[in-house]
Amino acid sequence: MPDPLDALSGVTFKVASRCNLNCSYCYVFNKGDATWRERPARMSQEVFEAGIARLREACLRTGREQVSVTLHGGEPTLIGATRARTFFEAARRGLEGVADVRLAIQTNGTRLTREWVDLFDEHRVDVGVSMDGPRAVHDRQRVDHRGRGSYRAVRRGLDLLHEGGVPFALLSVVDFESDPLEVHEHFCALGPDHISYLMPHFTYDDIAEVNARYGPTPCLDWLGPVLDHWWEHGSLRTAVQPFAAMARIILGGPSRLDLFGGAPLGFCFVETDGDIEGLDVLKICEDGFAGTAHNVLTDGFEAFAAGDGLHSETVFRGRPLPTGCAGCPEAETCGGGYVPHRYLRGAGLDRPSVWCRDLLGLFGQLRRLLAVDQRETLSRRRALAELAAASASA
Amino acid sequence: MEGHDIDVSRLADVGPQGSLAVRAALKATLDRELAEQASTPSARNSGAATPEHTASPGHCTPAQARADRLRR
Repeated sequence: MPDPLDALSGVTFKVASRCNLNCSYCYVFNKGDATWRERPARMSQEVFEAGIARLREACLRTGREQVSVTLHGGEPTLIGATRARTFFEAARRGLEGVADVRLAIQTNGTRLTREWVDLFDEHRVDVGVSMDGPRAVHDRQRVDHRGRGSYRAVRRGLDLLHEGGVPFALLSVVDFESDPLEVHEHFCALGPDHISYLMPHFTYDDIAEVNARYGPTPCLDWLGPVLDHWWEHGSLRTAVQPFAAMARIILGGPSRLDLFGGAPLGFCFVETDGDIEGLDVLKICEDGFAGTAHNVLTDGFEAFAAGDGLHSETVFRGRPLPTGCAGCPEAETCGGGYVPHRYLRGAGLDRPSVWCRDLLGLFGQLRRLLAVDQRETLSRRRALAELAAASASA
Repeated sequence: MEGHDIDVSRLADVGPQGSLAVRAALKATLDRELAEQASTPSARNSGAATPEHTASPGHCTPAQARADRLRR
């Protein structure tokens, strides 16, 4: 029987549990979860190093040769560049000789300085910057605690990254009020390494208002034109998600994005106090929903993996297909969509994503572009599995 | 991969990824990447086959493009 810990490929450290921005849609602060209030504002060196030591133990047990360590929040730059440097160094030192570590940070970009950029360059950190579009779009929701837009500060941060030669990704929550091609072309002009569009986080408890306002498929209506634009005018140098991930699945590959498929996520989260949590976006379901009984100061990831709860299953074994997805032509590819988007209070996660119709539309659009139907996807999947089996036995 | 539905005949036409249009090369590029990953046991143990957090920067950049950018 395989060790569920084999799935663990990375840990995201919530190094700051506060943020200098107050974005209206934030799943950490503004969607009903209040656990951040009880946690330390910043992660200590002790907690971070304990988390790395646990990751090292896991790698030694499973033989994993490459892992990712991501600084996340809240806003991770609130810890300061000096503390971040000690974290990056601790991660490299702690995993040296055991696994290659890929470092990453997801930031709102407003507090970047030359010191940060030099740090990213030195440690080859994958940098993600959250941004929602041109100023008028971005400043609608990405505001500080006084309601002031953050676009100018983010642009200063991007300029610094450019000056320092540090590649970056842009992470954007789809704003249905905006013009999708105006947003996409704005992003392309900013020169990101890749662009990720996020479907806004809703559950069955609050999706009705969205559909009443924006129609039955607002994500498809917004992302569809962007997909066509990417296909017709895009370069492979700039990956655009979720399209690149969807193409990979349609062509028979495993999901590279947690939005799709029932595969184990393979990553988990460590909060500022050392608490191990499951998928952080599950915070949108209910207060405390992402929590587990484990903490890196006292438990290894193997204890988390050995559990049989929702989070252990999601991270290490994968979620079952929701009941409502049986018989769907994209069941094997979509896999029910993003786990948090399947939630209904009192009924749990056994529903197709609230964006089900949007996902079906996007898969259909991309299938037409790639000229690959569902039958061919399954055939390709079998071919790749046979190739893997043959190479394993060679 | 011969004998299966994956169109390996197009793979030889795929040049440096950064210069290629999505429409022209995405399918062949991903086919090549998937075949390489499937036939390389070490790739399967490197995290290449596991999903990434949608709200993080991710490491979805194709390996060659990442190598290119690091050389820049």
